[in-house]
Amino acid sequence: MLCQRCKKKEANVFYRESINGKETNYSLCSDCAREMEEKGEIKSHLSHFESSHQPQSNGYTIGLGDLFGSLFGAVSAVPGARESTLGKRCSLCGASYADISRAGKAGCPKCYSEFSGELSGTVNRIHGNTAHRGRAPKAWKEKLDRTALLESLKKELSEAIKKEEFEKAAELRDKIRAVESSN
Amino acid sequence: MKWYEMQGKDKDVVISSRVRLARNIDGYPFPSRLDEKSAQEVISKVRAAFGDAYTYTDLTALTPLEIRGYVERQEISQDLANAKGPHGLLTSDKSGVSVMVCEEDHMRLQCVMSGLALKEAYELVAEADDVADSALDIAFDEKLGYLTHCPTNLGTGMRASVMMFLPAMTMSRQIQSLSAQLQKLGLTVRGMYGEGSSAEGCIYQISNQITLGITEEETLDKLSKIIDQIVVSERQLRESVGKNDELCDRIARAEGVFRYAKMISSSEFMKLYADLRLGISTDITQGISFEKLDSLLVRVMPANLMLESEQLSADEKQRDKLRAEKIRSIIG
Repeated sequence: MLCQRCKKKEANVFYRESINGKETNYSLCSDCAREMEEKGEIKSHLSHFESSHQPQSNGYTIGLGDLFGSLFGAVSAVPGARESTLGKRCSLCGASYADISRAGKAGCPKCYSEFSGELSGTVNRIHGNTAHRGRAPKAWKEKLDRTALLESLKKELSEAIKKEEFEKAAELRDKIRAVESSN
Repeated sequence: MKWYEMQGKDKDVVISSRVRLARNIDGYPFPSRLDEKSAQEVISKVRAAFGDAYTYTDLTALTPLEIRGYVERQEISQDLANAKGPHGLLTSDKSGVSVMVCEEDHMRLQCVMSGLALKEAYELVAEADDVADSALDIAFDEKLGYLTHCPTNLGTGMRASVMMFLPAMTMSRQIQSLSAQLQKLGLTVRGMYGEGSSAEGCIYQISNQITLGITEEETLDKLSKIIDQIVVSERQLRESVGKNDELCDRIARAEGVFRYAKMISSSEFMKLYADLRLGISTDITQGISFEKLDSLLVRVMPANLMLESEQLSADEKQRDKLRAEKIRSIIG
C-alpha cells in the first residue's frame, strides 16, 4: 500500500484516532508521518498531549475544526439568528459567531455568555444536556455553597409554614435574611 | 528527577499517567485572539501567581532544536511549540507540576507520573490549581464550569490520560475491539500500529473525553477502573502467549542489537523497545529495568540525542550512530 499523503513511498505507519466515536485513519510512510506529527496534524502516540484541533485544509487531515464546524452549525442555519447573530460581536474580544463557528472555538470567556443562545446547542452536542459538577474557584465556591444553603433554608421555611410552626418559620426567615445580606 | 526515571505502579503495562487542567483568566481573550501587549500581561499575572517556587522559560527565546527537545520530553505540547504569540513554560521540580502559559488556554497545569498514578497526579495538579485560584480571577460559569477556548474542555477542564504498553493485545489483534468498547464509554484511544506485530512500540494512549457534568473524582474513578481491567487482560494474554521459542528468540535478538549494534534508526528502535519491554515484563530479559528502557523513549529521540551529545548538526546517519552509542551506555 502506498502512503496516502505523498503517494510515492510504501506506507508503514498506520495512524488511528478515535474521538467521541469519530474515527480518523491514515496510512503513511514514516517520513510523512514524522512531518505531519511535527506540524501537529497528527499527534504523537508517544506523547500525552491531545491533537491540536486546528482545522486543516490540506486535504489529508479530517481537521477537528471541520468536525466542530458541523457541530456549531452554519450561521445562516440558526433560526431567527440572522440579524442578531450576523452583526453581533463579543464586547470583550470582538469575535463574531461566524468567527467562533469557523474556528470551532470561543474567542474569550465572555463569548460563552454573549453567544449563550447560539452556543448552547454546540455544548449539548459535545457533552450532553448537563451542568458543571466538580471543582470551582474559591470565589464561586462560596457563592455556589450560599445558593445551595438558601435553597435548603427556603424549603425548610415553606414546610414550617405548611405545618404552622410559626416560631420556627420566623427563625428560618431571619436566617435567610442573614445569609442574603452577607452577599 | 524526571517521570521516566522513576519507578511506578503496574509498569509492565502502564508507562505513564498525566492529568492536566485548562484554566483562563477572566477579562482577557484566549491566546489566539490576544495581542502582544495583553499576552505579556497574562504571562506576568500567571508568573506572579505561581511565584518564586516556579521557574519560567520563555520558549520564544529558544532554538527550534531546543523546543523539539521539550516536545520529545513531553514537557510541552506540539501546539505550544507552534504557538505564534508570546508563550512559555513554568516548572517546579518540588511540586512536580508544570504550567504551559498561553498555549490554547492561558494556563495548562499538568503533572506526568511514572506508571499508573492518576489520582496522585490529580492531587498535585489540584494543589497548583489552588495556588492559581488564590491569586487570579479564573474564568468560570455556574453551568459551564471552567471556561476554555475549546468547548470540548468546558466543565472541569480536566484531561486525564494513561500511556499503555499493550504488545499481547496488539499481537492477538484485540486492539480494534478494545478501542470500539472504550469509545462507547466516552473514552479516547490513540495509537500507531505497524504491520509487524510490535512495530511502533505497541503504545496506546487512553484518555477521558467528557468534561462537563462529571466531577474530577468520578472521571478518574471511571478511567482507573477501566485501566485496571485492561491491565488484567493484557497480563492474561501475555500468560497465554507464553514463552514460546520464537518470542524468546525475538526478545534475545532485540537485546543483542541494543548491546552491540553500531547504528540504530528510530523506527528500528521502537520495534526493539517493544520486544525488550515485553521481555522484561515476562522475565525473559534480566538485568534491564523499565526505568532504563523507558528513559530511552525520550533520550534517543532526535532532538534530545543531539542536545545531550552536543552534536547539534548531526544528520540522520550520524544520529543512528549516536543512538546506538546512547542505548549501549544506558542499557550497560
